[in-house]
Amino acid sequence: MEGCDETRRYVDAWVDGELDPGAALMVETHLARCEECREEADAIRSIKGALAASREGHAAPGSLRSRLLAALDEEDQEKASVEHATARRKHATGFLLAGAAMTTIALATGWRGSINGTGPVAGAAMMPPLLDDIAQRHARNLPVEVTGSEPTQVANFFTGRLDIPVRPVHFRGVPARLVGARISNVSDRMAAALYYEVGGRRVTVFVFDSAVLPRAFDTDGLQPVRVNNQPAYVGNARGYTVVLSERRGIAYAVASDMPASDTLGIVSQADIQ
Amino acid sequence: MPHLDALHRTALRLTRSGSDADDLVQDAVLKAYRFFDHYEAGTNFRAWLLKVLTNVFFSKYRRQTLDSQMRALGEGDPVSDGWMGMATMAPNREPERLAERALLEGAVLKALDEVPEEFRAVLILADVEGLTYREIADAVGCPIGTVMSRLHRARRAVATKLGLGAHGGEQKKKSEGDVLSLDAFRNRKKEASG
Ligand SMILES: [Zn+2]
Repeated sequence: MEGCDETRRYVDAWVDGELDPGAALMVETHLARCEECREEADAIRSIKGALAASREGHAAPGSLRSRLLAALDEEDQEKASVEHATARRKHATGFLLAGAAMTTIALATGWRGSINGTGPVAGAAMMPPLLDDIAQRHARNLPVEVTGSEPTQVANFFTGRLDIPVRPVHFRGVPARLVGARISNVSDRMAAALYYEVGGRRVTVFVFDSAVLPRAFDTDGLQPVRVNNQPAYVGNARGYTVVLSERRGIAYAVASDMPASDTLGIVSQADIQ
Repeated sequence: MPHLDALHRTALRLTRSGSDADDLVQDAVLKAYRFFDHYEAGTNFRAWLLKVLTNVFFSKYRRQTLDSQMRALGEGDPVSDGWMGMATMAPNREPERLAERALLEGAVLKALDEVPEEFRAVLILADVEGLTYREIADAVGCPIGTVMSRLHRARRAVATKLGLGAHGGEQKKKSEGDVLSLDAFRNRKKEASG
């Protein structure tokens, strides 16, 4: 079939979500009418999925950790200035505890004023309705319609109920547990609400059609940031932090009662399928 | 310690040796520590650490020359060979069946270990660590088009090692083709459609 060679050159990038919308559409148009190329895309996805799954459960040996701490100590001792060493030790702690990622995200936003506060950034009257809506639905903590013990079950639950694909989000290296999920609404559109527990705190991930997102984000109460090089928006409503992002036409809103820095830290570890 | 776990599993996949992996992680952490000022605030910290690790690996632990790796992968046209039969692999059909997935995962990792270093590094960063093409290009120091091409070949090599490729072992020689260009792709498409 015509276009197969061309498609196969770029089907990897398509599976990886790296093509711009125009190029992606061209690949999709071909895939819609070519079974062989579709099967190749499936096969790539299969290899990719198996490799991604291999991440699970891998822990660096404990001996390596103590060895690293010793090596960093030695490095510090080679430095003449005590002050200098202390500052560097902070870096070292950051590396090993992975805290640096969150700190640097917080600093990068240049949004110190509200990073540590829990109160709303703007008054309720100026709050974007979308943000307020999400915070309110997170706060309500309604009973789950499907439990989270088996993520594929959660995905299956939403199949046919929502007109967007919903996959539970995996948080890499974060002690997050999927408690359950239910159908919810965001701005009068159906949405999936995925309830997580992260270090004893409640985190809700809302998945919905990105058409709901406002065109202009420069409203009071929403702050543009970059998480893993992707644009995102942070806001605070009713004492809750909400992080909004979009991926392939699907919007994700993460709501928690944690400060913006911690919530962004969690979002930076989110693995969206 | 999620970052340390990521560094260690990547080191293990790159070196394929437990003791080399520990040494590589230590070298990389010390280097990252000394050059922390080079880290650009707001960018993906884990990707930066993996870049440091990848650089140390290639400067200190590399065992294969790029030439020999290209030969090992047949340097074929990335599209026309080896892929076709891959989709027929049974576990693909129902990825949600956990036992089959575990089998596939084990087999894929084993196949990954046999992929030449330069290609293996790109595949690990993309599919295990989930880095973007830009982050991978930055980590291995090559253009995005090269990342795309190496990724494509690495995945095909994995498929071939698994015995899934139709003509896996006998790719035809072709001198060039390490670089794919998105722009060229779009332009070609535009010409074709306009
Ligand atoms: Zn085709």
